[in-house]
Amino acid sequence: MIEIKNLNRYYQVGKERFYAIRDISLSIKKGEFVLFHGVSGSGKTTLLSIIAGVDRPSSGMISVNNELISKLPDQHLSRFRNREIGIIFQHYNLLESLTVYDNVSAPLIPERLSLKEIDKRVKKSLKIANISHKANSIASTLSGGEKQRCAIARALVTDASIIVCDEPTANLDRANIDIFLDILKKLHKLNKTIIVSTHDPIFQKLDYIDQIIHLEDGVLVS
Amino acid sequence: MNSPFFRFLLLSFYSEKAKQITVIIFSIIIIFILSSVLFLSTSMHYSITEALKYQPDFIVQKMAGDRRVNISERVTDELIEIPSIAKVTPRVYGRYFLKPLGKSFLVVGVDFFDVQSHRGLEKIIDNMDLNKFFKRRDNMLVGEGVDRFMREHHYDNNMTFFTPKGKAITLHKFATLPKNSELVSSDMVIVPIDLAKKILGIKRREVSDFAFNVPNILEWEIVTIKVSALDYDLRVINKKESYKAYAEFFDFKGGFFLSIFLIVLISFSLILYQRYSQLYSTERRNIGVLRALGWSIKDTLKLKFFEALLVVFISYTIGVSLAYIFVYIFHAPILKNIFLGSSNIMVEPTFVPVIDIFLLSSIFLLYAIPFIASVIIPVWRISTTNPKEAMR
Repeated sequence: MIEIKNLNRYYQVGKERFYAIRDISLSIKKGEFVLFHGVSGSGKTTLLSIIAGVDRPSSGMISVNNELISKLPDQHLSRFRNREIGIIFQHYNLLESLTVYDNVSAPLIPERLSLKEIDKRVKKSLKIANISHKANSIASTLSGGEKQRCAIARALVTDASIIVCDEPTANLDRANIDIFLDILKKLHKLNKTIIVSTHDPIFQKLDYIDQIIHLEDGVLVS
Repeated sequence: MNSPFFRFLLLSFYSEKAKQITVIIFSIIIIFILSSVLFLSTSMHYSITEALKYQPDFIVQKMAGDRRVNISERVTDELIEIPSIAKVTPRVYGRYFLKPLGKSFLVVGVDFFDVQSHRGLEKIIDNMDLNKFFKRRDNMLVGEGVDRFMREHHYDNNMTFFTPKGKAITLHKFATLPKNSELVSSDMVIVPIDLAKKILGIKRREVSDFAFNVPNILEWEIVTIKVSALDYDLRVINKKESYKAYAEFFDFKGGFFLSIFLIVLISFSLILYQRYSQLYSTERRNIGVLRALGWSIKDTLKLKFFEALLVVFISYTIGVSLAYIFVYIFHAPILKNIFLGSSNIMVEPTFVPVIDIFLLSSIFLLYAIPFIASVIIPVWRISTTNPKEAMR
């Protein structure tokens, strides 16, 4: 369950404040598939980042799974990100010099699990994301679609309840988009909360979308 | 490697091997230069201190116009009269100039039957058969530098000295003094006292100076006063003053050492500053990614700290080992000239390996603390910003 009330994120440029998002209030139920829709600069990525805990709001309240994340100190916010959120970035943000396997295992390192447990979880995620065959390949050598599947496996490895995706299809061809949508559908069936920020119209045609949130100039339109 | 953290650390370290190797090579060069200079100066300091241990407590010289002149042997009797003075030894030595070559040797006359008087020499000539030495009246012991000089100038084993009156005395090289004493004995020619007097033109009843010991250090001051009172032109030097003279000489040489040291430190600081001010964009992004994946500030700092520690450990071990080999096995070619360049006969000493834990720790700390700080501070700055900002 995600609760957002009067959320603002602004940047101070000299004496002026530039609002990325302004006075946003919304709620997302567990297991929902939600779409943040809007043009570039509408504030959807900022809103997504705040929900994922990689950015902090300037004011307002955000609670995720009953945790008031806007007030959490770094140590707790980091643990929250690690356990509750799986992030798929627009540019994948892989550790380019490491293998797919090591990239996927990265979120588990602070968890202090055994090597055996890590191995079990990584292999399971690689299988769901359909990238097991590239486990030992260096991330920088992968194609766009493979990089995205690696990013998906990484987002799944901690068994996070919320998966957030930022412009996930922006760098993919049609075939890879279909593969990606299939994976998202599977995850939705596993009762994961999925939030996608995109301006790609393909998502609006999906029949399993629960909520479409339209943003314009940082303000919630509908 | 059972710990996932250390496994990840090694993988991430290895995956950036090109960058890490560059840093390690640079660090090895810095540690190597620092360690070589410090090893060299410590070893020389040790050798000089060791040599001074065998110096007599006091030396009495006769002065004329601020210049040392030979002194009558009769002064011995007056010195012996003074209570507290344990033993008086007349010494004969002086410089013998080879004018055409612009070189000089230190000719030292030794009473070989009074070995206690020459504690330093006794140590130097420890393994020599003195019975054989006295089978010939014209035998001499020479330092490494003199030996080299003789070989280079085709003297073979005999060298002719001329007395001030022009009389030729040909001496036979009996043996060369041990290499490990070269720092103090390189240009030495050791001969029996009478022979030294002839070569140096010292009268039969005169000597160069006197050496004596005063076992009770509390009496040194009063003994100095008493000896000075014997005659207006006597100069009394005690061991502490010799230490001071050597220390001053060493400090002068230390200036060069300090210059090298400062140059290395300044270049090191500049590179650290560069690293501090502009952390590689990839590294920045990677820290942001790890933070976004749920690594806390503490986790990222821990990773980068151990990564830096690994670089420090590898660089330190290799740098110090190479410096050890360079100084103690290859005798510090080029670098030693800074310290020994002023000798009229080139000294090629064997540096005594001195392993000083304080010195090794100093090198480690001088390098490790700034290096780790230059890694950790920017990582901390990036880690404390939003992961979103760091990934840009």
